[in-house]
Amino acid sequence: MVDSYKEPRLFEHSPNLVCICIDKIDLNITTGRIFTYYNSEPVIFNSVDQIFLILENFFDDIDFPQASTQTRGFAERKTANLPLISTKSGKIMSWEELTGHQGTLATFLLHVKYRQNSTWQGNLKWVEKNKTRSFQSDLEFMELVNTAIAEK
Amino acid sequence: MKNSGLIIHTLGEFSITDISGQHGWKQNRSNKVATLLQYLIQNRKQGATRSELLFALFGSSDLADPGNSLKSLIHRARILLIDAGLPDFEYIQFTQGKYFWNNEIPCEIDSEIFEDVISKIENPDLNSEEKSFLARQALRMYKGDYLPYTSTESWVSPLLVSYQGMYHKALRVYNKLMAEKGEYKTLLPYLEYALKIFPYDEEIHLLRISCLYELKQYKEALTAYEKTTSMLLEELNINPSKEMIALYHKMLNGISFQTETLPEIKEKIQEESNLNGAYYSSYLGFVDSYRFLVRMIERNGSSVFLLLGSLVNSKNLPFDAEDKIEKAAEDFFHAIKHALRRGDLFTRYSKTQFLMLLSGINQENCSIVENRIRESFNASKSIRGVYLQFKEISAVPEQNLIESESKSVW
Repeated sequence: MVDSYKEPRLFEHSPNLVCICIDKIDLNITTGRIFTYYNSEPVIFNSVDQIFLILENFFDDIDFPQASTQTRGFAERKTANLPLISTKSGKIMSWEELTGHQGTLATFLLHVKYRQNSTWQGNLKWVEKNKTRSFQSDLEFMELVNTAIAEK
Repeated sequence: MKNSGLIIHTLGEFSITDISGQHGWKQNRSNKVATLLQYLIQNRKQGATRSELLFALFGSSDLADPGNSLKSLIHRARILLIDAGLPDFEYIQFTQGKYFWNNEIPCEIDSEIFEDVISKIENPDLNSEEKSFLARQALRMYKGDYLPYTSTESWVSPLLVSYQGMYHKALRVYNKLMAEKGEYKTLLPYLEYALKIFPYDEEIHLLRISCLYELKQYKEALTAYEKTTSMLLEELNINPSKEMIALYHKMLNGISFQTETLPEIKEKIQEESNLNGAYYSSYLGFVDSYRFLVRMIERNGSSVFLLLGSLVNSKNLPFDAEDKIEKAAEDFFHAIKHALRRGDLFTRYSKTQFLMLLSGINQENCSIVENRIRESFNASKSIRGVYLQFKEISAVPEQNLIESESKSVW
């Protein structure tokens, strides 16, 4: 019998699949690249917080997953200097291309399933370690990234 | 007194007729003379003392002259029976300090025979033929509740409940025996007759729907199911029981539709016309849609909310003006139907509550929808003093959000 079993392609059909490449940590400043199905050129981030802000805009832009509450804050969110993921050209990357990127220090595949209770719920895969963890809030997501970086 | 027996009916009616069935009297309203006769017939073996009889007739209310009232009733009872064409007997006798129904008159009392038949059914030596014969006999004898016009009397209620129990027992036995033989066609009229007596009895409805299903009358079974569940909700405010839901699923699984082409099937299942307004579904249909939609959310990422709308009074308590609830619920139904989008779903959850499923919406916009329903309701409501109250919650089940116990540890 031919072994036709293939490893399932993680989160392949989620339009909001994100590949996060961590390239450098210098004086506690984490820099890296973000890839999605919609951009072949990376979007650069300069901190873990920025990953969250960039992606929150991205999810709003593609309306996936829909947020269950409107964003509220004491001050308006500063997005002027924030790099944007352009989704204008539609899906231009294949799953293989998207998941083929690698960070110098670490690579993560992020799938945000829901945005309930004004936060995120989803799964994060640390590609190099082949481990996947779920998180119930954006804070937990950021902690997962930070813990992984600290282990390096 | 030979050839002068009486036939007394107490189940479903109270009547006394002669053996020929040509002359007799039938109670058609609540009255003390009938109560007197009923009490003495019921206690015809042991009789009743004067005070016992007075209590059964007048309770603890003070009478100016109880002795005279009783004498007058006894006299009127005799006149009533004789006027009805029954033989000129002393129907009520007084011996040894007690009043008695004249036991020298041969009487055939249906409740006594009924009780006797029921007790025979339990005999373990009977075969199924004999058992089903007796059960059938009992089911035919029971024409309705014991002494219907006197049912509120404290001495009648326990007997009434007891006879009801016996009837149910006979029905269960008969249902089981007929089901074992597959004689559903014979069984069905008995179940339908039972529902005429007990229209709100869920157990009998279940038996009838099951029977229709076994007779392969699928359409009738499903219609009966729909009617029963909405009747139970509207009249008694109860949702379908576990047994009812199980039967529904059994029916859906078991119904094998005729082979049809795909376009034919599509035509059959689609909505009959392109109606405006939100989609109304039965409670069970709503539960299925909700469960399915929750799975879809994982894939399409939409934000879905469950909204519970309740009819309340000015103090924010559930609206309980029984005679107005249905009208208010109807106004609420129309308000929801018109205020929600076509792609939204709603159902009636209880007498005063509707449950809605709104997709592609966030919590803040839920209140906009709630206001829209309120405006529509206020514009068209035909009842004063009724208001709407809403509560909303995200449709994603909590357990989907909490997938594992891992906390920021790799």
